[in-house]
Amino acid sequence: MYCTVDKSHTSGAPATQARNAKDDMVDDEEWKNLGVGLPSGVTMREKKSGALSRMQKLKKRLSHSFGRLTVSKEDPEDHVSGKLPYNGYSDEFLDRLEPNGNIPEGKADLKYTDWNTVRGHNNRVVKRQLSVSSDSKLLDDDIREEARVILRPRKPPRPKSEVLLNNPGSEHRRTKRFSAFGGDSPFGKSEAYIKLEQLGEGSYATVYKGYSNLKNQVVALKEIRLQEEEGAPFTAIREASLLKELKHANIVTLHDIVHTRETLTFVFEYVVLGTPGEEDWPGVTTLPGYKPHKLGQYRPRKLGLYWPRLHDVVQGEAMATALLQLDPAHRLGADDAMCHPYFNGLPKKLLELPDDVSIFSVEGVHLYPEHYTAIK
Amino acid sequence: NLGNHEVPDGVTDFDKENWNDVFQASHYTMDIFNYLKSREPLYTVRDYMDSQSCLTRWMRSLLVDWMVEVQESFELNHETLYLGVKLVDYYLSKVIISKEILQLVGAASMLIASKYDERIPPLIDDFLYICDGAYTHKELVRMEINILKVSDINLGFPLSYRFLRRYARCLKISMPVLTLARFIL
Repeated sequence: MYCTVDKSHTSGAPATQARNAKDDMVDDEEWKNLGVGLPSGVTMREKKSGALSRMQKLKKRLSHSFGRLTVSKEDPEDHVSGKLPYNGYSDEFLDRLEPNGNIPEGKADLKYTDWNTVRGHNNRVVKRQLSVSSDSKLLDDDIREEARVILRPRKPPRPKSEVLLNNPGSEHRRTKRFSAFGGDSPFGKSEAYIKLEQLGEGSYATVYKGYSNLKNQVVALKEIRLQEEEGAPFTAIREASLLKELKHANIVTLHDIVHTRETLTFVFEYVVLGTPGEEDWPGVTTLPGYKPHKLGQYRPRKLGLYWPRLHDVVQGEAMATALLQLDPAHRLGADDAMCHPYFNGLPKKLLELPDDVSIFSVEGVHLYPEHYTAIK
Repeated sequence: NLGNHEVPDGVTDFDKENWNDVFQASHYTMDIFNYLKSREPLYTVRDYMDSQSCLTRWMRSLLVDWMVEVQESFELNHETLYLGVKLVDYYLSKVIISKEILQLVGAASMLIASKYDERIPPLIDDFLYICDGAYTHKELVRMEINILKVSDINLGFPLSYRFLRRYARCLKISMPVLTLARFIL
């Protein structure tokens, strides 16, 4: 089943290096304690055996190992709470954090040495949070409970088995850095956007027209379903993470991302080419999904009105408009585009280059820095 | 002209040597490098261990060891591993968790990193298997969303490994030296 995975025993260097890394940090004795170590007498080379045994060695629960490792740090708590599903944090402890997240000087020691003082508080905390559990078996209940929480607006869902450092109740602790998640930022909340009519549907997302209460403007809402077998679609992860870095006049702007349990919604700027009709898309009205009353009638507007920067470029608006025609018969093809007046300023030699030769081999072709000031 | 940049005397300009090789993208390398460099301060992770009441540095190193093994076994890119570790650190610097779900955070981070960087990412079931059934499908998917939420899908971490690749290329260092450098990272 996993035989496709293992070719790495032939790859040599990286594998050895990783082994070394481990063996440097952990001596054999400790690995035996963890129950994942080598049987005595087994050499490192033999460890790189077949695929199946590798996977079996890999397969382990780290929490089993943690139990033995953390006696010194967690024992006192075990005495207090016994089998209680203690959650790994306490408000008491968080209160001792400074705004920057550091533990105030002198108080850090308290945590380890003076358990008697802390214990009382811990008991209280444990009782208050009995329903909260990090036990994996109980986590399903948490999921259900969280689903209920989501139904209430204004309160972003917070993972039950965790606590955020920016506890909403504590204004002084919050810094700007945390505001993107559960903080006071108006962004990232579904209430900020009104979903209007559907614009289109793709294989993994549905696009709606929407209205942003924050910016008082029309936006495009791309709603991605998360209930997929493989979790969040990698296309969505890549799209969002890349667009987050791309702020450019020629790239559709990703304003905001709204997370809910079932969906991930990307808020884009809204780009209007107008509602397609017979004149710019022959046959569109006979398509099975064509419902004019649902689409609404939007008149196309000149692209230059949306991107004033197109006026700054000679032939810029003409070129963009020619490329964005709905009807393929009227749309500018790649070859014709190369002959468009837009490119008149370029050396003719560029058009005759073979495919595998860099355009920079032509004399006079250079990269010039982009001026980002034009971006709103 | 952005592609051009000065090099100190007595140093061969690696990009100039490959100036006309389309696949080396020499015209863009300096831009890419400077861009990553400029973004580096945005992604710094503070020392969070003292605020993690249930975790120790020991556990983290154990988790990272495990993630290295995952990377090897699934034949993932080095970048995937570095991104995964970075995600774990970022998440832990924002959220306090218990030790039981540390491995879940690690697995979910590797899952996200694989989806970001790999051509064919491993399946969720593969991750569940290597966690020895400690977590359910639902939990892993949920943690994945949590991590995406906390990191706000900012996955473009300038990874130390990318810088190493560039340095190694320009200096034309040998494989053993590169391997040593990887080990140190």
